[in-house]
Amino acid sequence: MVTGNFGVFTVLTIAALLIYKLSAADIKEVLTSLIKSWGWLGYPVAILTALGSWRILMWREGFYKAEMDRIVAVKNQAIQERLELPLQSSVRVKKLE
Amino acid sequence: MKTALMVCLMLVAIGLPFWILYWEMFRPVCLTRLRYQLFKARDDLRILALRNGLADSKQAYRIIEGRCNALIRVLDYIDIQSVCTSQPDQRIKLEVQRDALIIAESPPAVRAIWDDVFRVAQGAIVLNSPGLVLPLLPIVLLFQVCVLWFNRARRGALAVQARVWAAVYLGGERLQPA
Repeated sequence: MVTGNFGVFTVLTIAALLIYKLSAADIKEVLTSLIKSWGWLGYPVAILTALGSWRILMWREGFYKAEMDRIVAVKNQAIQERLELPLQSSVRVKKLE
Repeated sequence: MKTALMVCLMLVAIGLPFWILYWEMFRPVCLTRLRYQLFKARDDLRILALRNGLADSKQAYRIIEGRCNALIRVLDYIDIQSVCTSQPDQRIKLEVQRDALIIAESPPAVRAIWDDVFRVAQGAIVLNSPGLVLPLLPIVLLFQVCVLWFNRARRGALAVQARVWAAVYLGGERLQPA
């Protein structure tokens, strides 16, 4: 219930039961009419899914890089607290407040 | 029956890609981000301890660090069900109350970190419970809009009040005899 897999499972079970009850000709008719009438919906769904995946991956790359920069800054700062000489870094990071 | 089958197949064909996208991409990425936020909160706390020594809030430091670590461990599977069905014993309840008091008495910087940690916990609970959150989303959104509206209305009232007082003070200054 909490994960929501219950809903997906229910729909799949109902579909399986209906397929079991209907004759082969009826199933063929349903599938044919579904593909004929609503087949085009596959393209927007595929495009939206691909776009969504791309945006999520780009977002992940962005905050991963930010996290790496933050870790570098924290590590440098922690070392600098103990080091008398100024620490130099290859990464240009924002100074922590 | 044919129509029902058609509806079911359409739901599966349209819903399943988004469902898989949520569970296999969106949720893991969001949880990773929340984990990074926890790392940041924990590092902020440690830097605070390093700089200020946290002489008067050592207990708060220990509590928040412990909660951060515990939350990092359970981030992947904490959900509304585990929150509602868990039955903590009296010792844990008292411990939670004591910790809340200690954190309430700690400096603002420490409390801000605590708030961040709690927000991460809320985010993880929502992300791991889409089955309950998605149907309740319209109600939650309506509630948020209402809160926002009331906050805006309250801010508007406060702004009006501030203007009234400003006018009163200005008028008082002007009316003062030279």
